[in-house]
Amino acid sequence: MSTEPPLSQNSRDCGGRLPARPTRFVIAFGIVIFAAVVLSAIGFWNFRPAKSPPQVDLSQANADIAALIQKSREQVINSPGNAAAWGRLGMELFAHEWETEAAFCFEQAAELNGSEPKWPYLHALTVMSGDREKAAILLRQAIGSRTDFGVARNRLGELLLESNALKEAEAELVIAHRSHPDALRPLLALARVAWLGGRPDEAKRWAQDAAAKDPSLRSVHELLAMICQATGDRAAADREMKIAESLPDRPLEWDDPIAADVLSRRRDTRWKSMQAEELLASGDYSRGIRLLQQILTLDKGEPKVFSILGRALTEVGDLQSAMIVLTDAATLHPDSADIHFQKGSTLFLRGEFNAARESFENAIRLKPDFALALFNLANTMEQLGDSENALAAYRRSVAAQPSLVPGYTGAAKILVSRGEKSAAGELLQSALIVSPGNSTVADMMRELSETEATPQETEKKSD
Amino acid sequence: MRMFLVFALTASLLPGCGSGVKDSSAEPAVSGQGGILRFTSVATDRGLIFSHHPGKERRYYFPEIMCAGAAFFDSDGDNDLDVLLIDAREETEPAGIAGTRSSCRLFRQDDKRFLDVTESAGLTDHGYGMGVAAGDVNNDGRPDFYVTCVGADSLYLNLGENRFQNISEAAGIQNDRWSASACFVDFDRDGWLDLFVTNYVDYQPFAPCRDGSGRDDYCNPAIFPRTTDRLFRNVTANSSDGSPKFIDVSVAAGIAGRAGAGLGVLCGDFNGDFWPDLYVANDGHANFLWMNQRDGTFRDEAVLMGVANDVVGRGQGSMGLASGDLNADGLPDILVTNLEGENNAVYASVQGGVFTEISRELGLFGPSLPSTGFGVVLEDFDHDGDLDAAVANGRVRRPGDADQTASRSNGKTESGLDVFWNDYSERSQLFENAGSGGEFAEQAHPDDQFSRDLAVSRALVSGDFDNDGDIDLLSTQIAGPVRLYENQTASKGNWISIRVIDPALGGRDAYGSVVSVTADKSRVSRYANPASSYLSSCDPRVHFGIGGSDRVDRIDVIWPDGVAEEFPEALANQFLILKRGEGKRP
Repeated sequence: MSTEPPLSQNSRDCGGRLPARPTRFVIAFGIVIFAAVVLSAIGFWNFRPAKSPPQVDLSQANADIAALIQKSREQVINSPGNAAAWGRLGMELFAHEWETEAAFCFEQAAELNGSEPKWPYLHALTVMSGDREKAAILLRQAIGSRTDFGVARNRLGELLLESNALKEAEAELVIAHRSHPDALRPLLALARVAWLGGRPDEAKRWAQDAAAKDPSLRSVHELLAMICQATGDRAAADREMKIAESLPDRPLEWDDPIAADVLSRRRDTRWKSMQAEELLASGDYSRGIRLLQQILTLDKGEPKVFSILGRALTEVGDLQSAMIVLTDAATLHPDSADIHFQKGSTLFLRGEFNAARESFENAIRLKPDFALALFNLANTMEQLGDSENALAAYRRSVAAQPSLVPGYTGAAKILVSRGEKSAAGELLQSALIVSPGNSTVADMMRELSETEATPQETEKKSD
Repeated sequence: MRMFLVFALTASLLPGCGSGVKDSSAEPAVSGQGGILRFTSVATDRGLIFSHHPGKERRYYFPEIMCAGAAFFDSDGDNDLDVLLIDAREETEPAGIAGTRSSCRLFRQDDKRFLDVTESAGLTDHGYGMGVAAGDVNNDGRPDFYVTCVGADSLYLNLGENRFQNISEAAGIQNDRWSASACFVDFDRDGWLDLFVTNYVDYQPFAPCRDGSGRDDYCNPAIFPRTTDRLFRNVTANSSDGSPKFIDVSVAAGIAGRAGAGLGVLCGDFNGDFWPDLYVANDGHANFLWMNQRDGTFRDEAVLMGVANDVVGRGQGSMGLASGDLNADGLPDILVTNLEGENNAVYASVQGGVFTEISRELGLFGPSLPSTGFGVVLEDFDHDGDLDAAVANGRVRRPGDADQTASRSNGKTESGLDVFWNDYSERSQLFENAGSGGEFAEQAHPDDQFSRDLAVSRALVSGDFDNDGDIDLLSTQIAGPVRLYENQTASKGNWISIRVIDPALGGRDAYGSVVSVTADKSRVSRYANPASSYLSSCDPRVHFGIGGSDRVDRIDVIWPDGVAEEFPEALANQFLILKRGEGKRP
């Protein structure tokens, strides 16, 4: 009978200890290998070839944009490991609609600083319209870095809602709502999730909560109206529709400080002119005019900028400067109906009615449906004593824009002065349809009804 | 259309054009067993040679990225479809509205060939044409047509013997706005076709628009004020000499109370009261659903009925429209084509008169996201008893990664496309319906040319131009040749094609009728009105695929005034003309 060597026996024993010397060797070898791998990875990470910032064609960009992008590119080239530099370049590219290049920058920024949720969030925004799955992954990444990132979570919830992933959407939106109980956005989205999920009562409750928090949001009342209609409560539906229609009809937009930060980096002419318009609308004429003048020193290619400046100067009473701007503009952009219109308006205020008429006619020749130019032409014709053409122009102005109430009243006044009261009444009726409750029209209607039909009209009717 | 601020995101039922209302209690004749869809381009072979001229090419004149329309209609009463194509004007012309190029071209079909008869037909008016609607405005049995334009529109009266006359002014039609799609509809059910016209934005043709980086591109409509649509009531009955007369009732009917950016229009009965309603696709703004109040007025109930916005309450860039019963529940649904990044939306009617969006359930959500859809038709291309879909695509803005030098070059691509327009081109799409309310699958035969050709496609018109019983397609493209596609889908089922006319109305097509056929206990309905899709007018006949059935057991017609008639059984695979008064009152 032979005996087996102890080593073999031991080697089959799962519970037994391995021989000491080979074990130490294996462990030591493993540590060395592991350390080498880690060190290689760190070395590669730190000394990997730096990625270059994307090149964009700046040949058509204005000098401001070109300088902005060039400067940020140089900062990235100088500090390729700086996440903030990549992110800044990304935001500037995104602001000027180089989405693909911006996405690349945000990706680099996120790689360099994985704890900053802003970069995957902005990356998500660049791909949102083209690749929703990727956008959802990036939004989750952003939320993962900062769980109270409400804007990102709301966006994710809405994205999932649009993709009909209602349960997932609801889960995100409930968290968003709990984190910010006063926020309207998750409430409205939760109402929509419940509606699409076939739970109209719950949808109504969420929407009512939203309406209670902010009764001025048209979308909330529109949603309530639809829910009420679907559940057979027509009276409530009509009530909600009436409220909705009394509120401004603006696109649904939510506060987003990060997107606002991107927008604030825009330097293109159109954006600047929009800012100027905002300043003018807020009554800050001096800053608005200054900004418009600055824009024109850089770029005379946008006729609208001349037009806005001309109007602003006219509104502050500087008719002489307005005329200089608009005359210059009409030479540079003879095909711009808007400039001729504005020039006509300024000439009208200067009392130069024949010249004003010519400018309005130029505007109308270029744009036959230019309702305001037709209306102003009518006014000018009245000043020139030509009521026949004034009436025709008023009629054309309301034909072009049926909501132009002064067009109806202007025409009605001429008709009344001629004794054609029933024709005037018809126009005023139309004005009341497009603008129910308009007090000027109502007053004119009342005055008209208090007077009897003229003999000429009675005669015409009997004919 | 794409929002100006990219971050804001972060912030018919029709005969030719397809619509169907299926009896929910019945099974489809043959469901989802159609052949693989295949269309072959035959325009040149058939003599339909026309290339659209957008006018001010490369100067980013906004209207050129939105045009142009087309119509299939039998202009000469010889029982085959002729083609009307809308054109713009020469590039060398001044910026004013008037031009020297005719705003439309008429091709008469004779011996299976198309012949350009524009000049002899008297269609030599100028203008920057957009869309077309066809319909008989004076009840003489001859179809007339209306051309929408950038500037004054034109109404053409069919004088017979292939002659037309522009009667816009005499008829009291005045619409100087930039108008898009239009439709003829007898909204007051007085027997005379009225006219609804969508108006787009209050455009001022100043310098090219630029994107955020300063690159020239077509404008975003959001920067222009919205306008109101127009409704013209046909008052020819009161005309002393019988000549067509219209009055603008936009204000009185309530239509002028809502401003939008109208591009598409669809006529249908969306609440089953047998009065025609109107659905309007607005670009970047809530769509309208004008519900007929039966007293000469309309009320916009799009929000109430859930067809105004997308599921998160945003207005979309809506362009084209089609209607039909897509989920086989017996109720009319609406298909809206939208901008890239937005899905083509299917609104399905549910109980309570409210619609819900079911694009995802039907498989039409994902495939539509990368493209910008314009013309759209719903037709049973393979005769399996359910409606398939075709969508004409083409971008409106240059992609961000486009080669910047391309916009300034004059060459052609390998596929023959102008380099300038290549950036805007996309492939169109075909979707086969799996039936029984199931999913659509984007599919086409490997040799299909409709979905293979790259183009900046706009109008899409459906109709059986070769009278072989199946539905063919015609699509227009900007700055390119018209494309006529013959349906060559193999293994199709049986079919029946029906034209409904009213002898008391001069024998004109009875727009607004609902035609239902029952075959093998399956009942399918179509709404007769050729206006739908985008800037288009389709074959006025209603077409039914009936699968393996060799006959239809009965045909029911509900005429536009709500009167019903039943017509006897008929063999499959034939064209029928049903005349009002010849059926049996149930």
